[in-house]
Formats: sequence, structure tokens, C-alpha cells
Amino acid sequence: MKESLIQFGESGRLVGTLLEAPTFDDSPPKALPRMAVLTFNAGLIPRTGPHRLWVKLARRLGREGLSSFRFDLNGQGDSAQVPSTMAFEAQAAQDIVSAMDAVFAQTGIERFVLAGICSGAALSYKAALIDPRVVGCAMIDIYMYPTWRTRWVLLRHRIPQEGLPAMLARWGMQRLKLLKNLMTKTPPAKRTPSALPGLDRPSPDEFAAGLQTLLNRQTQLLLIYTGSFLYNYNYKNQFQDRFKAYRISGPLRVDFDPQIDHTVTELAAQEFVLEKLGRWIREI
Amino acid sequence: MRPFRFNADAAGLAEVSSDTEMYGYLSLPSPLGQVQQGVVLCNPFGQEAVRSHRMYRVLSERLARAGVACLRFDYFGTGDSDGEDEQVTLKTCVENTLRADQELRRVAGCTHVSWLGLRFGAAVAAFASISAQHKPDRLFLWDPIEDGAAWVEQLKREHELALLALDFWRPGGRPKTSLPAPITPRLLGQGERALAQDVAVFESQGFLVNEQLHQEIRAIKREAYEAVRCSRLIVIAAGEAQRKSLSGLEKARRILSYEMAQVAPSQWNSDEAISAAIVPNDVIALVLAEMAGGGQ
Repeated sequence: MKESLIQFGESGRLVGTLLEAPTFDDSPPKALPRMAVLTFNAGLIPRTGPHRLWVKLARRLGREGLSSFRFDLNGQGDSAQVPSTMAFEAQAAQDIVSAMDAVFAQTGIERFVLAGICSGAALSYKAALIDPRVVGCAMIDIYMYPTWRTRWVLLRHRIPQEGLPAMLARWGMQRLKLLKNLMTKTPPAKRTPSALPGLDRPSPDEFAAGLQTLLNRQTQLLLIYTGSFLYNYNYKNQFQDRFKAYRISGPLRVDFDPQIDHTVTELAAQEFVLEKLGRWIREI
Repeated sequence: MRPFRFNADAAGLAEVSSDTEMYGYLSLPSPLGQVQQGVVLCNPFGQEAVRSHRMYRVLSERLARAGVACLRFDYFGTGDSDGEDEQVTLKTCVENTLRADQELRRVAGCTHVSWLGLRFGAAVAAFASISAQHKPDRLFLWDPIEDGAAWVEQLKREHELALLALDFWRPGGRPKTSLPAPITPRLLGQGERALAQDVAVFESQGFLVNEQLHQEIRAIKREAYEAVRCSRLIVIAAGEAQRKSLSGLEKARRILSYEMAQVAPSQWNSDEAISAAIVPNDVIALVLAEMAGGGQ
């Protein structure tokens, strides 16, 4: 398996590493559809991924005959900052499209699977919406939409830890502060809507519509929620509960894996995620 | 500025196979002209390497703008280079550094090459200087590991703390809940567990430390730095305590001049820094001044 560097995008200022797997055209049982897996930065982490996760995924998939391309978005990792009038999110989605173009130019592959964590998950989703070459999208810790049960589960865990009197006191203080702000006409502090810095969380209506658009296109979707945001996502069927009314249908799988953390820190957690992603990708 | 891959094997130095490649990023002055000076940057280990990526990038860009060619690279088994985590050893990192030095001289045509290493990278650079064919001009040891055994304990402690901080229900610690705790043996099957335990002595925030690396790190002592070879040794101490404990390195026998610089301890290596990519400007300024000849 050979890895090679590609510079692409405007003036070749974006950088990526292509692992072009050997094809198995002569041995049909091993033949896999010609597609490539694309990964990129998670937050500010370079294209190698948190704890080198994307390098490990690429080489594991490569051994099974799947190509992959890991790359740095505009201004991140080793990619230069391209002067852009676009907002970060739009520019990043454009970078992902450029990466698909670059891989196609190099290999002729025209079907892609995107895998992303955190902001990378949100950007994968956005890019999938604008480019039909995306046939699969794995998103770890993408937008979270709590339900009443999320709050109840949270409360059930907090009461024994914090103690009911302390919790009530804290709740009372918060209400007093709100009342004081109301009386002094102090504008409320702006709350971050999601755990994805710099990226706006779509409304449930928008997200459901977006997912359905992808599913109608037969894009396979895998959503994994880790244990790092239990205050926002904390039980197995939360997604199903929250989006039941939208009757989303199609090749969508949602997993809740509270035993792993957001950046997949432990070696065992890495193995768990690599195995899960590998199996899911092979089934596309 | 260009990313490239280069063969890790040179002059029979490497233990790796002949087609093994390393990833490097070369920052060249523009216009190129006659570049005389170059700097090789040696990465720290594991999570520290991830957290220092942005500041190494800024440092290399600033050096290039000042007319100094700069090569940052990933050791075999790290970053974007060939090799897997379990293959990383101090010995291969030292070999890789010598190879990177050779490559920078060849590609940029530099006649004077200096090295800078941060934390584990400082140990790598120091040990590499001992057997270098061309000793480095300047050798910057930034916040070097002084006591390898203590650092191993620190890595283990930080790993435990990181796991505590990761969990989850509320800040401050892993709660007693009915949720499965993210403990290694629970997740792995029997075969995989045996495989991982074969090579992993311990985990350090997402990175594996194998037996050889473990022993090599434990052997790092402050006295080892006294064997360095370079024209000028610059120790960048992070804080007063380190400045005191590192004083005396000027007695190293094979250096011509010495500078001890104390900088304020920076938060670049904090958990929060991974979302902020902190770049300590005092260190950048110090290195630039040194390379401009201001330190001599």
C-alpha cells in the first residue's frame, strides 16, 4: 500500500494523503465497489485525526482494498489559508467537494464515503447535501437534540451526585439571576446552541429534512453519539424519540456508545470505532 | 512551502524497510536564492505532538520569512509517516532526525543546519547530535525532559486524569453510574486484547508506548544532555524551576557557546489548547533572534 501526497484546490494550497488501494478486479470474491473514504480535521486537529485515528482507518481499509484520502481543510493542519469570502462552513464544504474532485482526477473513483467527528461530522453532512457523489456519511457526535427524557436521565444521575438540596439551591440561584436580569433589562447571555464551535445547529425540522434528502438519494448514514455529551444525549433511543414525528426512513443507523469519548482516546475505544466504521463501510 | 515524502532509509542507518517513507513539510524562503541556514524541528511525543502542530507550523513559516529554510517532519510510526504506533522507538526517532537533517541540506542546499526539539523532541535532537555526521549549528532544547522515569509516571497520571475529565455526567470526575465504564478489557475481544497487550506497556492519552520506547524514555536523564554536540546550545526553560534544574549544562564538553533562556510556562499543552492551538510568541521571537545571530 502506497500513500502519496496530493496538493489540490485553488493554487494547490490544500494538502491531502491518498492511499490508493490495489484493485481486486481479477478476484471477484474480494471485489469491493470502487469508492474512497474521505476524512479530514476534527476541530483543529490535523488530518491524521485524533490520536491518528484517520491514519489507522485508512490503512485498515486499504488492507481490505478500499482507497482513502485524508486531508486538511483551508488553513488547518498543513493546508494554506486560501483567501475566501465564504463563511467557514461553506468554505469547508467546498474544500470537501474539491477533495472529491482531486481523488477522482487521480484515481477515477467517483463514489465517496465521508467520516467525521464533531465539527467534521457537521461538515460531512453539509458536503453530502451538496454533492451526490457521497454514498455514505458516518458522523460522530453530530447535532444533538435533547428530549424530556434526556433531562430526566440527567437529573436522575445528578441528584445522587450533587444532592437534592444543593441542586435546588443552584436552580433557585439561577432563577433569581434571571429575575434580576429581567428587572434590570440585562440581555441574557448568549448560549452556545451546540457543541460544534463555529457551526450553527440546524433546527430539528431542518435536520430531519436534510437527513431525509440524503436517505432519499440512498446515501447510507451512520450517526454515532459518544458519552462525552451526556447532558445533551444520554440514552439509546434518544434520536428515534426526538425525530419520531418526522417518520425518517431509509438506510439510517443511529448508535449510542457511551463507553467511548468524543475524541476516541483509549486504544480500546479506537479499536471499537475502527471496527464499527470498517464493518459499516464494507456493507455500503 | 511544500509537503513531501522522503525515504526514511539513508546510508544504512535505519532499521526500517528500504521503501519506508516519512512525511515532511518544507518551508522555504521566497525568493529562494542562496539559503544558508536551515532548521529541523523535532516533534514531541503523542498528544504533545498534536498540540504543538500549530506552533511548529507558525515557527516554520516565520523562519522562512526570515530567510531560514525549515523542515518539520513526522517520525516513523507517527503523524502522516509510514509505520504504526507500536513501532515508535527513541532509536528510530533519532535515526529519522539524522535523515531529516540530510534531506534539508540536500533539498534546500543549506550549509548551516540547526535543530530544535520540544519535550521528547529535545531528547531526540540531543541524542541525534551525538552521532550526527554534521553536528547541528545551534541546538535548541525547549522544555526538555530531564527525568525520563518521572515523565513516564507523569504520562500515566495525565492519561488517568484525561479519562476522568472525559466522563461525562458532570465535570470533575467519572461518576458511579450504571453505564459501562470506558475500560479497555471490556471493549476488546480476547484475541485483540492479547494483541494490544503484547506491545502496549501503557497508554498515553490515545497513544501506545511499547516496551522498548518505555525503557528508552526511562533512561533519559539530565546528565545525558551533557554529551550533546553542537556549536551553540540554547536551552529554553519553561519557568524558574526548570531553569534552575537545567543550569550547569554549559559544562557540556562538546559545545562552543551556551545560552539559557527562561520563558513563561505556556498553556500550549493543556486540554483546552487542542481547541485553541496556542502559540507561545516569546519562544518564536527567541528562536528568530537566535537565528538572526542576535544570540551570539
